[in-house]
Amino acid sequence: MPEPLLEVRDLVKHFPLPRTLLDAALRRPQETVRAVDGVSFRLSRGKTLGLVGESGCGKSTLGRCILRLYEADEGEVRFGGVDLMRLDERELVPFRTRMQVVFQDPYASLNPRQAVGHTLLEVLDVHEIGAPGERRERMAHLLTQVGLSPGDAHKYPGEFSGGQRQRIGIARALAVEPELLIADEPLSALDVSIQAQILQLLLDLRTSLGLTMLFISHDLRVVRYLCDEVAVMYLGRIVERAATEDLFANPRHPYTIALLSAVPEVWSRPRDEIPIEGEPPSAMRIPRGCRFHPRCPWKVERCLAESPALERVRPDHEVACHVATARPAAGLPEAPAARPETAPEG
Amino acid sequence: MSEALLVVEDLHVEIPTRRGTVEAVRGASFTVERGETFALVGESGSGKTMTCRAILRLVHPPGAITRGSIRFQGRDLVHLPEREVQRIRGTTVVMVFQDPMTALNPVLTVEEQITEAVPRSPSPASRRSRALELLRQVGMPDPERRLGAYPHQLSGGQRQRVMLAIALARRPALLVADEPTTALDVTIQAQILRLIVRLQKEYEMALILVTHDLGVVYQVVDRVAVMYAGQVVELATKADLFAHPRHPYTIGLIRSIPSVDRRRRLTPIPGIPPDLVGLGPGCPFAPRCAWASDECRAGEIPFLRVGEGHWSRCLKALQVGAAADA
Repeated sequence: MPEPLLEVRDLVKHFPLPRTLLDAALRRPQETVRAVDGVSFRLSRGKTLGLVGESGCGKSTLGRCILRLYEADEGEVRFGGVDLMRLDERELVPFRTRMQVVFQDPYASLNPRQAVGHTLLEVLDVHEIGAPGERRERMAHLLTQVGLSPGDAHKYPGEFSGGQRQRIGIARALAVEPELLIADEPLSALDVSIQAQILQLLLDLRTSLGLTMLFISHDLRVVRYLCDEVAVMYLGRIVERAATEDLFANPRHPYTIALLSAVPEVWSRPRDEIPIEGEPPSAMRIPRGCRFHPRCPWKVERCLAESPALERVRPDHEVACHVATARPAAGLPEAPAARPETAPEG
Repeated sequence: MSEALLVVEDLHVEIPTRRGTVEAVRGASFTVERGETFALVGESGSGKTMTCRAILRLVHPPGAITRGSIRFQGRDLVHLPEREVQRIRGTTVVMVFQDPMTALNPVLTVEEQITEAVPRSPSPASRRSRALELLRQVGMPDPERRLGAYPHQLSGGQRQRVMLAIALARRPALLVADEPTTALDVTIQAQILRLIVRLQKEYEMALILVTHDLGVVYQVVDRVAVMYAGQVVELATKADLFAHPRHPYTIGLIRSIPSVDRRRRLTPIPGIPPDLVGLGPGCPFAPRCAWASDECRAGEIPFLRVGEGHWSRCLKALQVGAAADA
């Protein structure tokens, strides 16, 4: 197996909640949001990994820890074999250009008072990309690459539509010729027709530039379309990871199965309802044992006490579920009968 | 033949702004039958929300309904006195919104907000038990305890359940749900959609579901109006719309949705929607349309009948349709 471009090992990021004087006086225990709670994965060069999960599952925090926008508490983030968490700011600088990020809301990350061409030139200047005389040409090329025209360089972010701004966000990320692109919900704020355009753009760029991509999303439909492999997160942990086709064809974790069955699809009859109950619990009060057990229709006694680790059930397919790993060939038993959508608190 | 529950005809809504007049709705026409599940689909700025607000007469000044008619149970809502409209709003026609946090009162408990909607006559005790019954019907976990909760203590899904409980208190004839699940996670979205459909059947209400998500449309509704740039560009049963679309925009939308079932080729619609200020004559979709010709850009495009209960605002509907079916 070749060295992965990115390897994350046992990453942990907890956020302590602010304490009031009253909390201290009453000696209440410190509460913590366990946003990322022991995550490991490898991402090979040229591949795209989709990180999916619902709000609060820790997927964005994980992305930010990898970029060192957050300092993780424990674990390793190895990029090209180097553990980024051991580097100081100065040592980190060369890595800043090797990985780039695209956020959901490009408007918030663009300077509204600066023409976009200027923004791009600034990136090229700061990171000394190419010879100074060639940077204008390179800036024009970047705009063309993301489907804008060089003439757009003198426009301000406010003059662009949401989809076009996302193109600018992508152009800025690509300006430094990164090896890894982390895209955090880059399509979520966009309308369907525009979303498809940006999706196609990401797909084309990945092929033409050989980008490695970590694609963070709540949308399984988009992930299916774009990613080579998928990791499903639930309450700070990866509960299932597999090659995309295999994950969608043979989902094994009850949560993955439920997520897939909940996607409103065109062209397919409503699926058999998977009766997962309630809503995800808060990341401050993660259930004992398997963190999914309060909502799981398949739970057995062991799930209440013992937290399952990711185990291989098929080639290139790992699941963290006692029930699923006990039946690696067969998958889960028949789903228990669906109950009405009434749900006890998770 | 008795008239449909709701008849919207040639509705126009305009909003004056500093840049000029935004033509938010430019001639929307459709009907909704009793007990029917109807969807208004479109992207941001297509006019779907404004159309719904017009139905409830919730277009805020300086915005105004400038033309057209809205008949509900045979009464003309556009010209009804405000007092009469208030009587209808919240009783026979109710609306739930995308963000229940802003629609709920933050300083009142769940019980206070539901009982406020329950008819006045019964005693406080019976109003309370009606509130509890409503909370049970909307599948609220632990309903007794939730009666005393404030909106901020509830999750997004639970708040949407409270909104539905309030909406149902008067047994409305029409429920307008504006992107009711857009802010929710996919597993919660599925729960709430199932709930809305079940309640709609139990209460024999008509439902107008406003959404940008064709997947939601496919899973839930009977009939669909697709909106673009303030107009209904296609109106059809769900089955017809997805199997035999007759407008290039609808076809583009359908081809833009990725699927979890299979990796279909996506064919995005090029370009972006038009600015709704100072739109000229002609088809507003023409600049993005592969079939567009000079006549499309020239004058008003009529809403053409292209099949049984199937309408399209496209001069090339038949050619476009033949290509889509092929």
